[in-house]
Amino acid sequence: MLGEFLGMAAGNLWRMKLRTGLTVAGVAIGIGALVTMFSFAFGLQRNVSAEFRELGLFNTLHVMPGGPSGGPGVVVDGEDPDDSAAAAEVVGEDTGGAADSIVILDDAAIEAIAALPGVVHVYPQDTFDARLVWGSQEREVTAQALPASFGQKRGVRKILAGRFFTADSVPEIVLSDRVLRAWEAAPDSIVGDTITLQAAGRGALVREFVGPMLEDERLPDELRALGQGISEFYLSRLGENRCRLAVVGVIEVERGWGFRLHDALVPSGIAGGLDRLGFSNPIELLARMSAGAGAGYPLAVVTLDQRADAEAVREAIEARGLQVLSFAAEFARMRRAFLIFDIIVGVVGIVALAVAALGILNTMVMSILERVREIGILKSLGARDSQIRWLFLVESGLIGLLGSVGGWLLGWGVSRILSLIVGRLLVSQGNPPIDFFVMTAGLAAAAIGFGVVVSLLSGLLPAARAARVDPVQALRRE
Amino acid sequence: MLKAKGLTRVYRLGGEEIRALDGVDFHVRSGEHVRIVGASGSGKSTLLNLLAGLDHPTAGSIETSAGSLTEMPPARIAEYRARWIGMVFQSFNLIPHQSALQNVALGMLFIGLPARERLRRAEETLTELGLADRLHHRPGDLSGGEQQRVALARALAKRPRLLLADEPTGNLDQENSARLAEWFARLSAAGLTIVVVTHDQQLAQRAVHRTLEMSYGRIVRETTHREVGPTAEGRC
Ligand SMILES: Nc1ncnc2c1ncn2[C@@H]1O[C@H](COP(=O)(O)OP(=O)(O)O)[C@@H](O)[C@H]1O
Ligand SMILES: [Mg+2]
Repeated sequence: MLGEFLGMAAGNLWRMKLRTGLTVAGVAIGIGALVTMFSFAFGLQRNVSAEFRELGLFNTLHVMPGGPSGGPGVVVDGEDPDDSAAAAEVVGEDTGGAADSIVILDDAAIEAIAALPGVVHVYPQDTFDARLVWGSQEREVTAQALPASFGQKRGVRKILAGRFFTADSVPEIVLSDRVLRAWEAAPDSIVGDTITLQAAGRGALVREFVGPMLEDERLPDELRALGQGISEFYLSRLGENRCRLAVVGVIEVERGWGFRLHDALVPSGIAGGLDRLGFSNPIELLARMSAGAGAGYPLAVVTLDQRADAEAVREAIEARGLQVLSFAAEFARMRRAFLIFDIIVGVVGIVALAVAALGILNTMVMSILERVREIGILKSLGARDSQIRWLFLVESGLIGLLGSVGGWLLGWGVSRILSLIVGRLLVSQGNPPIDFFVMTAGLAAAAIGFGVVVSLLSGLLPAARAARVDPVQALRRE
Repeated sequence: MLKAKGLTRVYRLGGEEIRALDGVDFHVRSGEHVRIVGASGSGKSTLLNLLAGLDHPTAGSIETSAGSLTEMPPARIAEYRARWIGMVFQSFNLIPHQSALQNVALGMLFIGLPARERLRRAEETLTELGLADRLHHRPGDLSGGEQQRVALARALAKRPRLLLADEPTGNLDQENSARLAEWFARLSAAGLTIVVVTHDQQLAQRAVHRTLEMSYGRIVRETTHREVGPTAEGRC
């Protein structure tokens, strides 16, 4: 019987092509809007969570020196979500104030953190300015000291050529693709070569500033000789600020969330022996100076075991007076933001669909008014009220099905086109192409199912009205 | 096969009461051909609609071989209509966008016959009524006489126990009226139970067993022309 009704409903819709087409278009636009927006919302969330996962941020904590007054957790528990992005600033601000009460993130603190249960490893963000020399090519970079275990445990996202260094004190270096691009060299062409790394050390400062001063001709010779003697003695006490390193690998450095790799990665043992200034910007320098000599690191990255109790580790670190930034907690907060985004998207889509539903209602009411006599005939032939109701429900369901499938196609097409445009835009600005739209079978099924259900709901009232038609009156009409 | 007692149907229009039927006692025996005559507005259609279960009496009862119409739930009344009753109307009441064949086949939809069987029977019945070359015509492309024969085919194809016809010749010319009357006579002779409403007193009487005359919602005269034959009586 339902098959018969389907045939009758399809026939009725087909006879009223224009009206059916317009109603179906209304549904298609509503569903299309919903599909496009949810596709975008899901795509955005997928990209963000994929990024988090890929960077291992779900089991990563960032530890920073503790502020004097704010105490532990200032950054993490701050109400303003922007705080998380401004971690370095927080260090600067806090240390700029009451320097005496700052909690330093030094090797002792790092060892203590490493000993906590659930902590896989801890490494400090240890950066310094340096110049790379490769044949005739040169480049100023921010170099970063890392333990060899970084390459094994945490993993580098993309190794373009070669490998990561395998020991903490071998004279090796890993470069970023940015450096290679600047040198217009292919990643493979440099692996195996030796380059010179020249750190911006104290020795360099002495040479650069004291050297020219001593060469001043107004200076008495004795004084100049004395000065040169002192500076040479001083320089001899300092370590070498340059070393020759074998390039063992080239990695891709992307813009990421929070922690990121710099352009030249050096084993921590090698970096430790260099004469270098342990800062890469004036704020850090100020922080170090105010915190006292040899004043630790601005940041340490803690990698946790998958099953570790992140909250417990965080509390233990905070108990030491250090600040902790948990990306899992950050992500949870972002999820709430996404939920609100989803709700807004849903509401907009539902408004569009409500308009479509009104269209269906209108079409069905018109169609029933036109077919009162037909309903009377069907009843005189023995149709039950419930069968009449079904006949019209099938009709509105069919409109919904056509509209939903059309809407899904529309949404798919629109999201593909937008994706193409956005992708072009990203690439033209030197970014990797990201697909912000995600189209899953689940989304398609949900969209079509939702469209059909909404159509059936908007057909309910007209169908009930059709079922109530009095056959005697209907058949009397001339 | 059908017996009604004290049938009353009151319509309320605004504050006014119209007694379309006013305590009618009525019966049809199996195989009987009953004719109802009467002036326009005398309640003939109202009576027929009540017998078909399309309308519900304000008072009174209708007993059928299928049970008491006045006590049946609506779904059962619909089934009674689907299986037992064939109806023919003055204004044909065909579905305009369906072919003759489809219209007739539709008449059997609600008795749950498979589509092929319905089409087969529809074609058979239409052919029997002389419309073999009109199967795929729509009502608009048929003459009034042809349309009424399609409507008759629709009523007959399901093989009803009771044929109810409300002024079937009302929209037909003399020639087509005579032809339709001929068909009713033949069906009656074959044993079909028929109640036909007409205000046309001149319609052939030879096939009719009984004539009832209605006036102002009452049966005012009953004339028996002949008895129902025993063969016909045995049919239902
Ligand atoms: N739906 C209705 N509402 C009000 N009055 C009606 C309705 N149907 C029929 N009537 C009235 O009932 C009476 C009988 O009508 P009907 O049975 O159609 O007469 P007939 O078929 O004999 O011409 C008439 O007076 C008619 O006006
Ligand atoms: Mg009438």
